[in-house]
Amino acid sequence: MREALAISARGLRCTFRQGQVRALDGVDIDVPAGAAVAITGPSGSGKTTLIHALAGLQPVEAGDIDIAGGTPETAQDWTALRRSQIGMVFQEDWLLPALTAAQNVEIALGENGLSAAERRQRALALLARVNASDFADYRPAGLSGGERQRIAVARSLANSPAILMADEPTGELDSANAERIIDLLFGLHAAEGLTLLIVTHDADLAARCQAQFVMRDGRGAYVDAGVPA
Amino acid sequence: MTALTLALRNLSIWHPRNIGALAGIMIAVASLVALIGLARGVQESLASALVNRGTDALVTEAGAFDLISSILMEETAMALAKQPGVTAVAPELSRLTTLRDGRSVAVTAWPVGTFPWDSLKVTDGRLPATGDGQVAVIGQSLATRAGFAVGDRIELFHTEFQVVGLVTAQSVLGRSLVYAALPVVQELTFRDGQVTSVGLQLDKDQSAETLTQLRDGFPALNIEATADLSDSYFFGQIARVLALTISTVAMLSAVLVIFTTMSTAVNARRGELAILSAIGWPRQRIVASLLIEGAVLSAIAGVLGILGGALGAQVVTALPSITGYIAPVIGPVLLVQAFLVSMAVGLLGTVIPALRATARAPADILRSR
Ligand SMILES: Nc1ncnc2c1ncn2[C@@H]1O[C@H](COP(=O)(O)OP(=O)(O)OP(=O)(O)O)[C@@H](O)[C@H]1O
Ligand SMILES: [Mg+2]
Repeated sequence: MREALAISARGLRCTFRQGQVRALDGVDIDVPAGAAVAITGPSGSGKTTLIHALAGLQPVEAGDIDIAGGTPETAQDWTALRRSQIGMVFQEDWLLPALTAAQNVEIALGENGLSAAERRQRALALLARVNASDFADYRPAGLSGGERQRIAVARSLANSPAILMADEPTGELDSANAERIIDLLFGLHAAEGLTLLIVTHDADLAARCQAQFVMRDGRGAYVDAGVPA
Repeated sequence: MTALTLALRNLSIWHPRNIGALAGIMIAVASLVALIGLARGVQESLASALVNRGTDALVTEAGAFDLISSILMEETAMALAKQPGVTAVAPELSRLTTLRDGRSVAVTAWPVGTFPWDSLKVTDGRLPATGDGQVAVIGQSLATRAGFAVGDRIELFHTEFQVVGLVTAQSVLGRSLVYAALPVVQELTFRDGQVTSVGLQLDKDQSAETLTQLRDGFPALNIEATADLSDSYFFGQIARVLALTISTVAMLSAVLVIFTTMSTAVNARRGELAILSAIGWPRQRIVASLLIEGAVLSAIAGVLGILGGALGAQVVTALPSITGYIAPVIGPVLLVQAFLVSMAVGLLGTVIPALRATARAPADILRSR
């Protein structure tokens, strides 16, 4: 039986500077549901552009994307999908400075009929999962990079996504903090079958994933053709 | 979290950017209120001085540049008095002179006993009487500023006058004039038998007809109802054009200031807007949240600006060089207008940058700071 695919994209094309830079030059990628895939490749090869395209944050000029069982087309389709199925973690935390850690998680909860108390409770539970309960009521400005990134991870999990995409989530962290974040992501992957897509330059981290998708000059392929059929 | 709570949270931290936007809008609204109030004050100070004197119509030389340069013969007043519908006449001579301290004042003279004297309220002393000689009555604000009291001497037209009374008038201008008897001023200014204008009181029931008849009968005269007067004289017209120009400029600069401050504020936050989109906020919710911020900010700034503008106009009119001549005219309508302008422009200044910022692909912004 063929495995269900969380993501299946064909012929993704995306250029910048009037076509001079081909960030994605016809990328095909399949990601089985529940897999952990590392996206690697040299700087400028199109890794960030790829996951942004797969999350609908970057419009593509050509190509088809099937994701989480649907084929989003409009901007509304994509926001709805990010609200329910896709969690995103970026290299920077992008926490809103005006909000506390708990509120930064709450804003990702969407307007799904929860009371204020329920929202807060849910935010606190998510913060507990990333070991960030202690600073639930702190604003980001007073927190370290590792603490902030943990909050960003909690935010990405707010709507129990099926797919989590992380762009060098540990790029700005020291090794101890990086370790915690990675353990956390793999823990969720193991426990809940979360599909993981991690952009990384870190060989050890890539090795922990079941497959490595390597990008080069806007094109990409799995290292060993093992994972997708 | 809703668009509203996010907006309020964002405002509650009083980021320097918010304070900048607030100050920008505030200054624009304040200048709008102050400038329009002052311009209207200039326009009304002349008209109100006449209306409050009980003058229904003012007769001047046709084509005269302003009230002071008009020349009429005093007999004209007698002729006008005989016309049907005219109930009283008051020939007036207005001249400027310089006091010993260099201050220039306007002296207004009427024959003793004519109706404009009745509009002055004596606060100390008395009005001039027939056969008094060189006596003057001084408007209360001028007296306070220049330190005149009853019994003092005042030099007018290089001649010593005795101050016999202090008066207040309903108009600000009226409180800053010096008043004297007509023949005395005519003689000292070499204008025997001449006046600058004639004030008329008309039979109320037929004042319109009377004015038409008078204009037909005296084509060499300019006869205006005092209510319309500020429009028909050069200074009145200038004041009106100024008021219009100033309000337009103030309004335009308010629009620009609000637009740029809100644009800058929204642009500085493109990262926040992009992350909201990345976590699944629909565009209209992001825009709504920004609009609420803009609305709250411009409402606060509008109120503060109105207060600042009203206060500023009072301060300006208290300046020694103009105090007593102009009172800012800042009515409830102007305040409501200024508030609505700040709200409308605040929202417009927010919605355009908000739509522009949220139209960009979040990837452009989230890629890297
Ligand atoms: N908005 C943009 N405007 C112009 N060029 C862009 C833009 N975004 C990406 N590029 C270019 O597209 C190419 C791919 O960029 P991308 O960020 O996807 O690479 P990457 O593999 O993530 O690199 P890194 O490892 O350094 O993060 C690069 O050459 C980059 O300069
Ligand atoms: Mg990258």
